[in-house]
Parts: sequence; C-alpha cells; structure tokens
Amino acid sequence: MRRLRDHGLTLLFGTLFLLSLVGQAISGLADYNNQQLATGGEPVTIWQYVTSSSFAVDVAENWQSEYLQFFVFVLATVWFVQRGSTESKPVDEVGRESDEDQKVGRHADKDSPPWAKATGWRRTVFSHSLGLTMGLLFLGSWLAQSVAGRAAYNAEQLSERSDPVSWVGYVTSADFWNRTMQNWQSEFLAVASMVLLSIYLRERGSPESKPVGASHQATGVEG
Amino acid sequence: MRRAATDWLAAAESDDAARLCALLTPAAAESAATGGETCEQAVGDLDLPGGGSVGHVELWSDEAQVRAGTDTLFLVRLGDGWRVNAAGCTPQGDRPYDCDVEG
Repeated sequence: MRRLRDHGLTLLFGTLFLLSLVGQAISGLADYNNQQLATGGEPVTIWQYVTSSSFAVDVAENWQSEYLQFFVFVLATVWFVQRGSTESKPVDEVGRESDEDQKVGRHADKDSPPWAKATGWRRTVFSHSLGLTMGLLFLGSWLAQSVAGRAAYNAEQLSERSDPVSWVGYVTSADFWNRTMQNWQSEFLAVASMVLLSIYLRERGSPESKPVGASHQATGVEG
Repeated sequence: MRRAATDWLAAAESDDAARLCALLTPAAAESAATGGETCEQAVGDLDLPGGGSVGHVELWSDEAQVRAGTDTLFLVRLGDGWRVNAAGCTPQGDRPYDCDVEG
C-alpha cells in the first residue's frame, strides 16, 4: 500500500492516459468509418483502425506538442522568470546557478546521483538530461506525426481523386502545419495560464499552488 | 490491386461493359447508371481508355492510384478485393481529377 501511495501520482496519470487513449480509439473509429462510407470505402475494425496511419497521426500530433511544451518550459524557466508565480524561480536566480546551489562535483552530498558527482561529459549530460529527453521525445513524435500524417493525408487525397504528396511536400503542407499549430497554441496557452493564474489563485495542499496565505508577490514557493 | 487494374485495362480495350461494371465499386457502378440507363449501357457509351500496362502505382492504406496505359485509375480495397472507384480520369492541376466514372 505504501508503494502505491508513493507512486500514486504516476499511477493516476498513467491510468488516465490509458483510459483516454482507449476513448480516442473508440471515438476515432466511429468518425473514421463515417468518412469511409462517405467516400465509397468500407468500415474497418478497431484493430485495423488502431494500426492505421490515421490513428497514429492523431496520437503523434498530440504527443509532440506535449513534449514541446515541457521542452520549452524546462529550458525557458532557466532564464525567464515571472514574479509571483509558483512556476518561476525567484527573480534574482536567473541562469544556470552555482555548482554549490546545484550540488554538483565537490558540492554533491551522499544522496546525490552518481553523475552529479562525476566530472566531464557525464556531469554535463546529466545536468541537461531532462531538457535533452524532452527535446528528443518532441522531435521523435513530431517525426512520427509527419510520417503517419503523410500516409493518412495521401489516402485521403486518393479518396478525393487527387495526387499524393512526397514527405517534403507534406511537411510544407497546410495539413501538417494546421495540425501542428492547433496543438502548439493550446500547449503554450496552458503554460501561460498556469504561470499567470498561480500568482493570484490558490489550491490548498497542491505543490502547484502557493500556500493559501502566501503573498501574491512570493515567487517560486510551493503550497 | 495490380490484377484489378490489369483486368480493367483488358476489359476497356475489348469494350466489355459488363466486365467493367463488375470491376467498379458499388458506389461507382450506381453513379454510372443514371438517366434510366444501366451501368453496362452507361459505361458502354463512354470511350474509356484501355490497353497498355500498369505503370506507376501509389498505394496508401486502402486507396490506390494507378497510371494504366493512357488512363489514371483510382482503386479502393473492399471486403472482396480491390475495385475501381474512378476511371477515365484527367488531371486538373491542383484540383481533383475529372473522371468519366467515379463513385
């Protein structure tokens, strides 16, 4: 039970992710089959749909924007601050901070991860591992969106008696950038909303909020 | 899919309207049978290009585009195999192809 409690946040959001992915598959199948019938095709099974490029692009376009959001947020919060926000570090701590503050090298303690104590490339890689990973996940899922999106787009092109396009043609197409931008705008809006609203609003007990009685000017404090 | 396209070319070259209609999707066959004519009568009145061989093929999911002889065909995979969904198609630049028969 303690292990469940200690990892409850991951388990909760992992479960919500799986449930919503199943929901997307079910609703997406219904929508896809409506389009199939409208263009002279035949309905497909759930297995055919979840292994299709149409499902893959709908998943990948959302994943890439989520990872882009975190990639930009992780990096931006090194250099950009917002006075009063829980999402910001204190305004006088802009930048990479000192080795002592970051507990690297000789400033590491007994509980520090091994690569924080290491020198050279190991420390450098570990020091940027979160941003690097988010960036790679973004690029990988954006590439997946482009490949699956081209396949889905070209199937639609053929069903509408139009020529298919190359990969370069697709990543410079309105379809690719419309899918991309409609996802990016919502991600950046969500971050901006959270940064701003956390200045003035509270949720007692959440680390995403300041303590209820904390000043609106207090920056980078958790509830 | 190539077999369906090859059969289409052979049927068009021999003006076998019944065979052509059998190779069409139900939607395309129904669309061809307008104004009181049967599919065979309507398709027989069209001068669909035939002969030649299957050229460049684009295959995406259950849809295919085939350059066949002097024609461009659009095929779709149904439960019982590939059928022709549009034939006698002429490119229109950025706009969809203009086809003599389409579902």
